[in-house]
Amino acid sequence: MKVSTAYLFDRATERMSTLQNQLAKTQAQMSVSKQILNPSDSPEKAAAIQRLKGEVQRQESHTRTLQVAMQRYTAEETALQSGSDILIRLKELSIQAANDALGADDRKVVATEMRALRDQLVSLGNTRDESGNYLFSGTRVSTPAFAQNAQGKVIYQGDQTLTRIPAGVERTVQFTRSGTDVFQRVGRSDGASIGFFDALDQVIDGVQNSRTGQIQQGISDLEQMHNSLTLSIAQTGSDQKVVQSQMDVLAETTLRFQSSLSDVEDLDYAEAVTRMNKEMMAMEAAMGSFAKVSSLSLFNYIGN
Amino acid sequence: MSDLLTIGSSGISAYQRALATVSNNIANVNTVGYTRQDVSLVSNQPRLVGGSYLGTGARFDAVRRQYDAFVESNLRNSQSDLKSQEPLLSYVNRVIDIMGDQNVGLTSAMNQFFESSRDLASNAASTVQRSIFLRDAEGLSARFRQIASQFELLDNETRQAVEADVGEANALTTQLALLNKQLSKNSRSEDQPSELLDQRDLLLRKLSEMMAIKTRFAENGAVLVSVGDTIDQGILVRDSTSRSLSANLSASDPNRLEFLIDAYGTPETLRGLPSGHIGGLISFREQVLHPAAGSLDDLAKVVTREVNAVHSNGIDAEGKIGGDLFAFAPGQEGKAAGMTMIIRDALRVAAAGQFRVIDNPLNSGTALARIGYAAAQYQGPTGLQGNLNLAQAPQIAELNTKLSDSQPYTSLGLVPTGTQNLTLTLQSPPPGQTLQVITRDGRHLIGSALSAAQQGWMVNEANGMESGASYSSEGINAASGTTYLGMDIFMGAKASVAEEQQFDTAGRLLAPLKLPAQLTGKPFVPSSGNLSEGSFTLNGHALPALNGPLTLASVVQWINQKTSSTGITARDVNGQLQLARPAGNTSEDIRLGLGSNGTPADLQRLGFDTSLHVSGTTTDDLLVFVSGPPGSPVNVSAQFQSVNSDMKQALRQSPLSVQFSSDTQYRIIDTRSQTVLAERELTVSAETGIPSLSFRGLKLDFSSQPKKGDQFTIDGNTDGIGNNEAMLQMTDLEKAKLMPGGLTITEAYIEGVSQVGNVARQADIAKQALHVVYQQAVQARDAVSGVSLDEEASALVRFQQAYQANAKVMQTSMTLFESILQVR
Repeated sequence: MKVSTAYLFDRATERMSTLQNQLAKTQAQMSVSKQILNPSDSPEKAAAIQRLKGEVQRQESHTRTLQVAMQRYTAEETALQSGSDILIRLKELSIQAANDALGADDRKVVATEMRALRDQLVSLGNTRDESGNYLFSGTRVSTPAFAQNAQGKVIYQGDQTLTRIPAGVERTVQFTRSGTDVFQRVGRSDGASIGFFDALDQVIDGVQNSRTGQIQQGISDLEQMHNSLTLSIAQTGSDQKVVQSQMDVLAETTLRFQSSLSDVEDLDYAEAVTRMNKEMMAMEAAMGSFAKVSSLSLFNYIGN
Repeated sequence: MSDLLTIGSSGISAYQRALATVSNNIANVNTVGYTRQDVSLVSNQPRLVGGSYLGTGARFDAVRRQYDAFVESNLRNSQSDLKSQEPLLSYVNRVIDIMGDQNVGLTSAMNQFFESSRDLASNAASTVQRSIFLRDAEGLSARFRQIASQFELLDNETRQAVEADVGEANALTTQLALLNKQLSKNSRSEDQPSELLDQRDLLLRKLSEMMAIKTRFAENGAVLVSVGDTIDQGILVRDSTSRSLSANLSASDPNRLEFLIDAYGTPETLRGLPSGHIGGLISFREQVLHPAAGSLDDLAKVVTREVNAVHSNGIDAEGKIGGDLFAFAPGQEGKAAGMTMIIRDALRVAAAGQFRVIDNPLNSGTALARIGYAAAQYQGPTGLQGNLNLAQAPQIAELNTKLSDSQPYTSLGLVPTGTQNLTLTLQSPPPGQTLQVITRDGRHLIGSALSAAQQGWMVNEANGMESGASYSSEGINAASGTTYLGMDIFMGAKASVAEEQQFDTAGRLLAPLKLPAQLTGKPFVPSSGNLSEGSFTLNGHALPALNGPLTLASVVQWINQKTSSTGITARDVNGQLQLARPAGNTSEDIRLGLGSNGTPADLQRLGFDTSLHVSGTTTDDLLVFVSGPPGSPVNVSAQFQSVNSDMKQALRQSPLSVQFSSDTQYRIIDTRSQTVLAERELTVSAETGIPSLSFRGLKLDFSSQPKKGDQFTIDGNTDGIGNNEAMLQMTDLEKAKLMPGGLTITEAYIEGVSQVGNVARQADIAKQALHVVYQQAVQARDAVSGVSLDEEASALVRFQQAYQANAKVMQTSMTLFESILQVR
């Protein structure tokens, strides 16, 4: 079959431009070290990259949430630990006050210290987090958890709403701890229950006025208060453990997603360099052969 | 005689032309559309000399085009096919690059939105996080708009490309028509100038780049071009006339391009142009661009709907109910291009839940409660039965039915919360028939106390009761002031203070004139039988017993005995009983109600139908029944002002208290009116395995079993800005399978990218295959019609040598002639 001169040139140009395009693409891949330059290069890979990047982003955001939770638990733990120390001291003081050797005036001195400690407990109950929100107010975060009313009685002003925060796929962790949960009601042997600070006020009142029965009741109340506070500390601790282990899980998941992402997205340099060499060789061959073929003309040989 | 000189000169002149043809081929080696020409030489007519014929040389016969009609049409077709894939592929890739790009695509904006909603959930009170959430919500709506505008750009671009192609095609068909005219000068194509035919083929080839064409050639080479299904349809060029093609947006579907031939002459609509550059653009628009834009709009709709549903369910930082977060610009409803964010103030971001539960500090149990709300789903009626449902004023609806033979009651349906000013009348009730109004929790408000069997029938989940509802007739027919939730609900005959429209002399409306209440019965029919004491109450005052037989006079006298305390007088007006307030009393109404012994049939004896009247708005769902003898006819009419049912808001506005009367028994009490709304037993949820209760959609879950005496107060959240319930629901949307096929929003979007990717891959494969076909067609055409310089070189040498040889012949002839002359 006859090959027309124009066809010969057109085809050679076309082939060389195809090779040039391939070479340019490989070069661009190598310069950004990515397999996919545009999503249209490989839509399904681009989709996978989007999906994986979204996952990685989600894991990171969950980790951030958990860090917020961790900060809060730590703040809670600090406050509760101080609360526990204060309660121990209060218990010591009330046992001391129960001692018959003490006179009424001595007891009054003890009561003064106890009042100061009670005020300290109230202020611990009103601990704020780093954004200025009250830790133990439930969701009424802008209202102090505890306040004294006109009668000097400590009242809880927060609510009991329990909030959870997202900490993973289908997983939430409990977040708020209400004031009444921390400074729990005291149940007495007669079945009645009394508020934390009311019980405290009663024992202080007992010490102040040297009422032995009230002091004895107070010692048992304080024991119970301390126990429940210790329980809260333990709960905070176990919450922290849960969060920590969830963070570890997230870190591992993130790593897995990142390695899958790298598989899809990152360029295999060894393969790319080999490909580039091959393409350069093909390019050289195409150019060289075209130079030779195109210089062939019968006119060169029909000399007169 | 055939002389040498003539023969030689005939050869010279023939080869001169042959050489000219070859040089023309060489000169046109790079001319696009040029068809190689070949000369044909024929020998001259021989002459008879003696007994044999002697040749007389050769002459130039014709220049022939090296042309194969089949190869040429093959080239055109393969070109149309190839050209259709090119725009498809390049535009599809642009769509993928828009949708799939990390910075332009939707996925990153969507992820960002949910990420900031999670961050807000973990710090719900933070104004900073609220602002970030708003920023990312705006980012999401902006991303929708951007992608939509990119799609619109592609839509415009491809439409303009089609229009440009159509314009070019029209120019080509005009030229073809002119060419046909020139060709008409000769009757045979062999006689046509080769260059004219080359031009014709070139024009056809260019036209076939735009669209697939059908051709028919006349004897003289003139061409007929059509783009229809058959050659006789959609003709663009016939003889020396061309018909112009135009592309317009379809009137029925503004996205679609329609093609019309000869729009200003005899218009012909085409079904489409399937191939060529135009066909490729059309397939891109119809198969890729518009579906992609459509799914983007769907996504925008779902995102707007779902996010708004959650957001308007929450409470903002000021304790107000959140509104819609996203909206569509006017005129662009449901279009991604019109998606906007309408909340600008960070404090208006509704992150908190609408309800809150507070446990009493003195609770002895350790149970902590969690509250949730989801619109309650009940069995039974959703409104009043039949036509009664349509009885919004000024309409009055009637329902005529009968009690079934097996069942001594029938449901008239539900009067939902928020129904205003309802009157429901039992017309001429037979003895024993009465209306019964019961709440979803079995609180019997109106009617006659139910027997155990009746309770079993009516207080039943199938009739719309809450699960675990118990019956109570404690507040039945309660007197005004002690009614359920303080609602003004009354059964009997009632007349309100009448109002008369007043106008001044200029016809302007004045304050209405109030007239004393007046209650007039139907024509009185005397009847026998006594009325026992406590059958009736008149505005709360019990009427004494009345011995039968009843006459209008005795009834009037009986009622008037009590005028001093009721302030109401009775009289006989044309044989009808009329009760009236004295003139000047324009504040009190008249209520003739049923006492504990009265029945609607008794009221009927006085000439009145028994009606259920609700003045003002209902604040709970009421289930209405008619009970009576089996098989008795029931005729009911009804009218109400309006129904504005919003149970959730009703609940938010009335704080409830859940009080445990034992470890498992609890009562739900409205804290303002102290109405007992429900008395039930605590059950353990089958799903979660923890004790829980629900009330009108509110759901209370307890961390452990509550104890006797425990109290929990439920109220509408107004200041719990640290609450993150709504934001948690927002983050749940990320994983919610909201799109068809059980896909999440993001998955559906990525799926869309993949689908476009499939089109691109198919187009790429098709393009490669068609390119091979096209190359073969080009090669085949060039093998016939192309100019090869080597071939021409050899032809040149060949003809040159023949020319030289002929010259030699002429020289020989001259030499011969010289020889003759030298003979002396």
